[in-house]
Amino acid sequence: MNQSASCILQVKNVDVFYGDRQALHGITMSIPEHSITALIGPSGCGKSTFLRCLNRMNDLISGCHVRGEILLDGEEITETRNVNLLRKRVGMVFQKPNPFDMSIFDNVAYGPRTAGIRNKATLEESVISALKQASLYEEVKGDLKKSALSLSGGQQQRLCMARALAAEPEILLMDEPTSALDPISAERIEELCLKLKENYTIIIVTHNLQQAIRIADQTAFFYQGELIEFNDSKMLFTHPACEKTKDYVTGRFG
Amino acid sequence: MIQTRRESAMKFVFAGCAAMSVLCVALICWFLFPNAIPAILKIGPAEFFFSADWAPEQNRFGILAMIAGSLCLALGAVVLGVPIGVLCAVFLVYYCPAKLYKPFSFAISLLAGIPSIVYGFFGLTVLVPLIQKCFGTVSGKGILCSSILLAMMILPTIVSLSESALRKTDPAIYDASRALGASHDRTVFYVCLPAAVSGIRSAVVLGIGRAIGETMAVIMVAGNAAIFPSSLLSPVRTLTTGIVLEMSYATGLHRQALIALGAVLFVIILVMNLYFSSRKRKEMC
Repeated sequence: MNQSASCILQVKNVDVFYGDRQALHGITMSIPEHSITALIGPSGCGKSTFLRCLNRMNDLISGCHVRGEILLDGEEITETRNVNLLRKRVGMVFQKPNPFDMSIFDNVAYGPRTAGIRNKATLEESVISALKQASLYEEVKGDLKKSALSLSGGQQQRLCMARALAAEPEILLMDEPTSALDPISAERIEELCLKLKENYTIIIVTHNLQQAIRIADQTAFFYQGELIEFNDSKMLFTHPACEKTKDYVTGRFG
Repeated sequence: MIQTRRESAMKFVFAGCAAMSVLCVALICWFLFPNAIPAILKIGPAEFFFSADWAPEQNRFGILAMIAGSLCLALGAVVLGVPIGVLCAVFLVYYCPAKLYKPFSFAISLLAGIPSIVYGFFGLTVLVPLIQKCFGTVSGKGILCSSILLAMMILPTIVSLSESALRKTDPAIYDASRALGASHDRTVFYVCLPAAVSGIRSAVVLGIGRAIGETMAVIMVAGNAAIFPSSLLSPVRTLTTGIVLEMSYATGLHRQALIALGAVLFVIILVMNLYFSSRKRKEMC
């Protein structure tokens, strides 16, 4: 792993409990800035739970509580009072495209409007910039007033990315963003991730190991709530240090 | 062999039952319109619909005042009942502590089960004196009182339909909004409520239907003067109460004119239901 890059996110000894059941055991990792980090592992291994710790979406699940330290730019986030401000800095794209039942423009403008921006010109500017960043602008520029639900699945997912980007986050969390999409749409999302990492730090949960190899700078392997291995993607997939990782990436279980 | 014969026989029984309900509608139309249309023609459609002068003993049958009365009350009920009902549904779905949910929804369903005559008594003994006191009028009966009462009566419809519309919204959009840094309140009012708006619209239409059709409660608190309503406190006669008040002694053209009132009411409700079901069909697609 590239140790020289500055780490935007530091996670120390994080445990997560759903009621009495412990879902994550003492996760410790540092995530470098402007890179793509993939989280892999079999279903139920806790990778999505971990992702949701980073923007505290776990707060919304009753009975869930998180222990440990998560530092964003050196600032403890589990104690931040203003969770909404945190979520503005750490955006999220979900597994299934979930645009709002509004126009394309209003979808993308939702984040800035929430942040209190009312000025029409400013809004328009940030909407267009976000749509361009999400490589959607060329397809929809004729009609931003159109309902977002009329777009195709792949376009909707890119719209959701644009919506997240318009809030000007530093980190973008992606929870299996391509699993509900056809291969061509998925490929576009991957290309997009590679383009976006120049300006954002991306953390992506994926079940698709090929995807992790293609786009991730480093990969973390989770198994049964523990972080088994975290390394440069190339190293992890070609020379896994742990037996479990080797079994998983070679397809012996999953 | 016997089995199949019995099955096909049952088919006719079911078809007969289904035909019965169609027959009922047909019979009502068959009674209503042949009585109503000649009466309207005899009175003159222009006078019937556009005159507010209702004086049966002098053979003057203008129903405009009553149409206006019905519409005023429906409007009043909606203006008062819809915001309260929708916000109540929002509370039940997004804010209500789990412990309070059951008593709340039970109370609301109870509200739906109270007979309208009991509402009428409540209006007469509580609302009417209250309005008398507040506004210093001689009689508290009128548009305001009836609207408040009707708002209470349509509340359960509005609440339960709005609630189910809100529950049907995709929880993923709630998460999406929260993940963008929006607060719970902002998410509820800017994302979830707009997503449920078509269901809420149906709730409003059904509420209006109920308000226009209501008779017994209204007759007790409306004041019932067949004059064009001029203020919130003026007494009002609706299409339904107009029929009830005079049907017992009406004869001849008067009686037919009252049946024509019923026909007008029938058409209004029919149009509303058609609109409602067409919205619903659009939603399904």
